[in-house]
Amino acid sequence: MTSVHSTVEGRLGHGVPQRLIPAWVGTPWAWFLTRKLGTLVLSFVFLVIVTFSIVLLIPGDAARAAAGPDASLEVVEATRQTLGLNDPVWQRFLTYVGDIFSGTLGTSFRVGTVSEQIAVRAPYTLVVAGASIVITLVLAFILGVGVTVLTRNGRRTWLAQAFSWVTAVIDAVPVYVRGTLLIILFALTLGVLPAGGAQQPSSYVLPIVALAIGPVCSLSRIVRREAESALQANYIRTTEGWRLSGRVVYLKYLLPNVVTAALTLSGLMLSGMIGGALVMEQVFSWPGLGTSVVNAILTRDYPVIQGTILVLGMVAVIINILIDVALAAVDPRHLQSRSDA
Amino acid sequence: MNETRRRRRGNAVFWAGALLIAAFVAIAVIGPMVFSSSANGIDPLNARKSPSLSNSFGTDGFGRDILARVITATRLTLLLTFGASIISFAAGTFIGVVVRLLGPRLQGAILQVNAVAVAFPALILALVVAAILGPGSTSAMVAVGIAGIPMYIRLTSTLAAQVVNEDFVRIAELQRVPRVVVAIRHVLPNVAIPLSVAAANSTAFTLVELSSLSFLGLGVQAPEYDYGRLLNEGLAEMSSQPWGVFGPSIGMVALGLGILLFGDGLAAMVDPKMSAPQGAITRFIEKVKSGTRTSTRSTAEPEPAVAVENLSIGTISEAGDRHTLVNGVSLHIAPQEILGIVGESGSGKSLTAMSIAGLAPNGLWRTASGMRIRETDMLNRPAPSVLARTVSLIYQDPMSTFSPSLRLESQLGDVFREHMGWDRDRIHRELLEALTSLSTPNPERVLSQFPHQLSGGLLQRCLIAQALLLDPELLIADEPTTALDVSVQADVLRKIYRFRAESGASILLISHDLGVVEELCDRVLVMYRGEFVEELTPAQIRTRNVQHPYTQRLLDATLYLEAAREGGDR
Repeated sequence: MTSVHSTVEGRLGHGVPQRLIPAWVGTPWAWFLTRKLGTLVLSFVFLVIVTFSIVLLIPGDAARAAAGPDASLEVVEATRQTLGLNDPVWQRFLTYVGDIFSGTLGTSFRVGTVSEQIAVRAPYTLVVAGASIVITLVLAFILGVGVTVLTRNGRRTWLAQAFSWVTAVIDAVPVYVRGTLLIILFALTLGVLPAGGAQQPSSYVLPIVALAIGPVCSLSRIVRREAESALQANYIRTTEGWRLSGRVVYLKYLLPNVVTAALTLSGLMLSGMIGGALVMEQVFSWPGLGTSVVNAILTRDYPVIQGTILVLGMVAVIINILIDVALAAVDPRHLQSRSDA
Repeated sequence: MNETRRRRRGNAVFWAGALLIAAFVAIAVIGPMVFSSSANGIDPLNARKSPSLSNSFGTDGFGRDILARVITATRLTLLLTFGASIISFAAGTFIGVVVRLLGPRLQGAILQVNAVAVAFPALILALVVAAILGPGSTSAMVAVGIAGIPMYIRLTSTLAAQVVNEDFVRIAELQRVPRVVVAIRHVLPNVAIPLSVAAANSTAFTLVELSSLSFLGLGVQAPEYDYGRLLNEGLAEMSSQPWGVFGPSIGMVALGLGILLFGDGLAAMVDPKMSAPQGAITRFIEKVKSGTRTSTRSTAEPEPAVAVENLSIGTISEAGDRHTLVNGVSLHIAPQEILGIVGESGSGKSLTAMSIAGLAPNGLWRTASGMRIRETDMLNRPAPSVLARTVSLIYQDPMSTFSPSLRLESQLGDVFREHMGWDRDRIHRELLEALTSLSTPNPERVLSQFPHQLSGGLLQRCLIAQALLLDPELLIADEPTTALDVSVQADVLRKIYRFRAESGASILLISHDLGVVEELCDRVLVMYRGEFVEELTPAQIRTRNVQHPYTQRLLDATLYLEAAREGGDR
């Protein structure tokens, strides 16, 4: 019955005085958060190695690649010095890690430190991505569960069909096509919203809609599929035996189980919205990390590329972990099993 | 019949997708030969023309025909997409299978790192590769291809892990067949189908990602162009020539839809469950035969608490063909009597019980000339709060009876909150008391736990405790001990006995276990193919004094099992 507690207590406490162990040690949540912290550290190490390898893996002469094909020999040599390409690899790695922990993330080839550049641009990306994720979660569950309930037992077949087709078609449209079509419709044709930039609050509307509408469609399809199968579950039959009202059955019994099932399946999709945000920024000339990293790749500003990808990667990892924590809060079974398998 | 329908639907979706893809392949092969001059020929005098007969999508800023450019771009788009998909697929499945052949520790480490890689958005991984190789079509293809590898590694190794545990693989290993041969001959063919479904779906993502890179300016470089690049160029002059955006968008969406349909159709043909569920086909039909409602049975027995007359249940197909599952059964249960129904699975015993409770599954028809539980006419659609206090139920599988995400107290309490108006404190107090009266150790903890933390026996006891509080007229116990360990079974049966003693309710016990029925019931009905074939007393079962050949067979089977069990104990 209480296997969690007993095994945990068994694992700890040998040779350590009981009073020195705080009460939270050994609780399922402590173990869970420790594991998640492990994931965070592992992902960070992975990202540091991957971003460090970018310069290492550039084919041919990295200094020449960074300086550009037209640069003079002196410029190439100067670039070689700045990138530290004459140093042995381990020393360059130490410098790289040192830059990360000092908070500068290295120096841009153009202006200032990488972290300064990121600090200016990150809020734009994070606000749009964060708002889109929240909107996606709320809307997808309302739509998915709503359509399931409305079409239950073969009622309103037209709604089921329409939902399937509309979401499938919108889902098949890439984020940059959606964004462009939104600009044509709302900015150029109707003239109600700005086409790009982030000068006024209304500028946020189209980027967020463009980014969220696809995931809303795909997540609500997942939610609907999960809700359909959850409706067949025995615990729903039990609530019918208790003759509970539809409101209680759907909100209290169906929804939490659908949320966990759908979130487990969609964690990657939600963190993938960071990738979508990068593309979206190009459509709306959005002054976020996406436009800056694309620019950096085009101008071969390697420190900026490395720093931005490190930050974006960590944001994706943190989103994943937050989803796992939310899952565990809704359904404690997720405390024990790994939900990312 | 449902399945074949779905399969056929899957087929239609599959062929629609296949046709779309084939059309794009044909355009990719022929298009550039026919249209390359109008697609690339610069004609400043004809710049930014609106769509017309000669230029159906209009012309761009250099006077080039947009439709011709979209058609020409198809070849590069397809080549890059398939190229990148092949890179991900080949490298991913290869590594995935090889990883399975490694020792457990190395395998664990690789999969752990891979799990981290999978968690990153593919576009970010593609940016890393694009940063290393510099912008260009080949580097974009390699970048997206590499970014797709971790997903395939995970998929292949998960699928392979399932197959590796199958008997035929174990046998091959016992016969010292080399691991590589096992991988190629046994593992790969068995993961091929789910893998190809996944491959079709991920190709759609590859298409989007590649075009995204081109759109960002990191993929295909001018003067070459694919859909993404065209869209990038169209974006700049969107206000003067929207067709520069519409054209490649249409191509992009149609191609993506084709690949998605192909994948969905493939999935539906392989596994009907994976396709999107269709609206239920059968309708809920409930019919009440009129007339003969009056209690025709006037026997010397005490007035029964439960009286069911002439109950029939069946399915109805779309065409209106009826199929009978339960055929005109009647039963009576006296107050405090325990009536058992035994029969093999599919004999209709659960269906009968659930219909009496008013909980028959949807899509069935049900007729009866009378169905009464005390004063409640069950044919007259009683109010939910009346029903909740008239019939209580205990189900077969206690582990799935409760919602996994709610504490026991919260779930058990809802019925009192909704139908009896109890507040939180009262619910807590009464549930505690009821559990204690069933001699449950530590009832506080039971109530505060989640279903997965409790044993099946305790969960059944919770339902019995709840029934004690609801004080129903009828308790239906549908195979209450089947899913439990033998050691707990007797205890749950004792609790049901206790329930009977403390309440005045009638009990309907469904079981296929004659031993359970013999121990607990006052009377037993034998059900066979939707009809009651015999009524027995426990004594008759004990002495094997039965008439119907089916009952005889049922008893023989029990004896055989008992003999086997006793033999096994020695």
